[in-house]
Amino acid sequence: MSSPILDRELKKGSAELLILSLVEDRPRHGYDIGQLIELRSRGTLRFNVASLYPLLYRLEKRGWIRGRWVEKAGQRRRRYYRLTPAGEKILAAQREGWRDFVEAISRITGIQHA
Amino acid sequence: MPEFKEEIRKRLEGLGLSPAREAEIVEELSQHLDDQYEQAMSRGAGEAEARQAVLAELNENDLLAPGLKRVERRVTHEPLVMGKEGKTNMIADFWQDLRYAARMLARTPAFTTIAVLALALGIGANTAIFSVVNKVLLQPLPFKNPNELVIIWENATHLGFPKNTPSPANFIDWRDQSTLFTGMAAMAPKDFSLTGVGEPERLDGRKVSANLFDLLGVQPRLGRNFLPEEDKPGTRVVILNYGLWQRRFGSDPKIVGQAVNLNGESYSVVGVMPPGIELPGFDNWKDQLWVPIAFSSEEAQSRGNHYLEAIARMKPGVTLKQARVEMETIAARLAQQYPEENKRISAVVNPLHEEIVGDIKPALLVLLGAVGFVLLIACANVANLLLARAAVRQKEIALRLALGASRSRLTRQFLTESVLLAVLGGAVGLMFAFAGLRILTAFIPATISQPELIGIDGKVLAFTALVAVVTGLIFGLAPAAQASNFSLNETLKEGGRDAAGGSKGARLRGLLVIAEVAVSFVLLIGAGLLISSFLHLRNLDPGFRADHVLTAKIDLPELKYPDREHRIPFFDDVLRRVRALPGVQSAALAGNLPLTYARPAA
Repeated sequence: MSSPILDRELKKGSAELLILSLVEDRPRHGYDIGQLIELRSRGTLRFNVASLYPLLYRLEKRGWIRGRWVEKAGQRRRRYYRLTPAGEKILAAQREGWRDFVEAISRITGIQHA
Repeated sequence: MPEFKEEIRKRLEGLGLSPAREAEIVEELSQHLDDQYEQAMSRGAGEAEARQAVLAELNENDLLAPGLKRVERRVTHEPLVMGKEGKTNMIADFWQDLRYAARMLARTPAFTTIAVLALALGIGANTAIFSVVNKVLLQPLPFKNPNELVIIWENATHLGFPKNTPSPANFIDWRDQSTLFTGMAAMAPKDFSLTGVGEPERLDGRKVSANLFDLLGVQPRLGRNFLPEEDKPGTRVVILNYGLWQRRFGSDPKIVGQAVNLNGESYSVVGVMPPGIELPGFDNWKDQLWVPIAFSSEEAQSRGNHYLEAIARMKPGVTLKQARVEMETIAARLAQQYPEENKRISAVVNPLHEEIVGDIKPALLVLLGAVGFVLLIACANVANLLLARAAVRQKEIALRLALGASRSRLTRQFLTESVLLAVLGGAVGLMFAFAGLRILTAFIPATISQPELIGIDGKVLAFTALVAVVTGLIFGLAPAAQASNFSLNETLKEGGRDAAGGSKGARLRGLLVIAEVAVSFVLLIGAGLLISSFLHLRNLDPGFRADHVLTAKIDLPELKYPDREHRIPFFDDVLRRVRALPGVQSAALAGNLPLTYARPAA
């Protein structure tokens, strides 16, 4: 991303979708979520601790994800977030909206899907 | 590994998070930072460098605090800490006190039971008496604008009758000459024998002016009131009271227009009154039906035959004083005009309500005062019990004071406990009052009020609730004051030695006992005097032997026995046959029984 403004706005718009997608198949803790975003976007997207956690708490407060402390043998306890039924509906709706948006942008700008 | 928790905590300051939530966030974020630190180290960074990188992320754009601030709810009130000074949450405190009080009371069931029963007796007695006061003294009469209604008597004080029943001629002159009344009506009791429907029955009834019910503002439940033209001799119409209609006519909705046989004559029913309509008047005279008074021309001329009751409604705005002055003026004129019958006879005007409750009012107020004293005694008793218990609870109080509980907080908690006790007492007392009312209403003269209508209504409930709360505050004050005056140092020093609550507590309890004994004495003396007057009355020698004497009332239908020639043989026959009965020593006839009110024969 070249422009910092575009970067910020795109992140803002897509952040919720990213997190909801990542906890869809299984519960994950915050560090895990941050790592996956960086890894799967091949470094294009990065959430630092100061922006990731307020976002997680906001989603939790809306009831879309639910965090629980889980202790595993030999490890410190960690807080794992899972998708709630309400979150599932939101995720489906956001995916749909995002897909339409990307397609519309592509048709206008002539950018092809990878 | 460096410690990041402090760094995170610093950034959360000022967010007003609850301690628990803050700890949770610190734990979660510090783990994240630890993971990043390890990752940086594994990539070959030096310790200082790795730490720098992690902190840089934490600080990036200063996002953390504002981000959290938007999401996290601020804690609006401080968590409750026992004995914490400063801002308090009254409602939360109150709930806490209430739960604590309930636990304390449940822990000592014997104490609680005794205290609740003592209070229930006091509050129950007050509730019972108040419900009678409420009905008899406070509730308005079942008539329209009852304050305008007055009873007018002849004043023949020189003959020993300050409130004498007026004669028909005087009543008619009053009615025709007065200007300050919207109407005046006369009434006179009359016996009726109901025949023709089931068992024959003697009924209390009353002859009334045709305008009486309109004057009172009473509408019949069925049918109509009397018409002016029905107030003439020879008209045979009757209005039934609700009870008679229910009892003898099966609440027949088609009763109006039907004929009933009264005193051997056929009367046409024109109306049925709603329940609760009772006219003021003679003792133990419960009207069951009404007929027009219909003065004959001789009756209307009669000035020496005093047997009426006069009821009148003052015009709006007319004062009792004005009405009295006018009636006295009219009476003075009549006394001049008819010196033979009316010499020195004046007129008295009294409010209807006063006439009805007049005799019982002081008695009821005395009773209310007496039960008030009973409640005070109950309060003193319970206060004593609480004081004794407070002495036992000194350790608890000392501990809580030492832990930082404020004295005002302790006082409030003690008061909560006593008010809870009083409210429980009030609830049980209400049950006592229900039972007590049944007994009490049996003693209320039927003419005063309909005893069956005396009950526990909203006003009585409010009274009970108020009494309970005030009671709780009264008897709770002493123990609460003692608890808050309590010397922490001394108690801790004294240890378990002084279980009696110190000399101060002992003095307070002594005072309570003194007050209690004093009030009890007043009540006992009052009750004793009352009983002794009652016994004197019972033992009063009336001048004849009333034991083994039976009485019966006889009314002869006028149609069959119109005059003395017809009646005397009947009564002679009755006497002869009664005397012949086995077990009868002697029998006699009288117009009125000795020591009973000389009710005029109509």
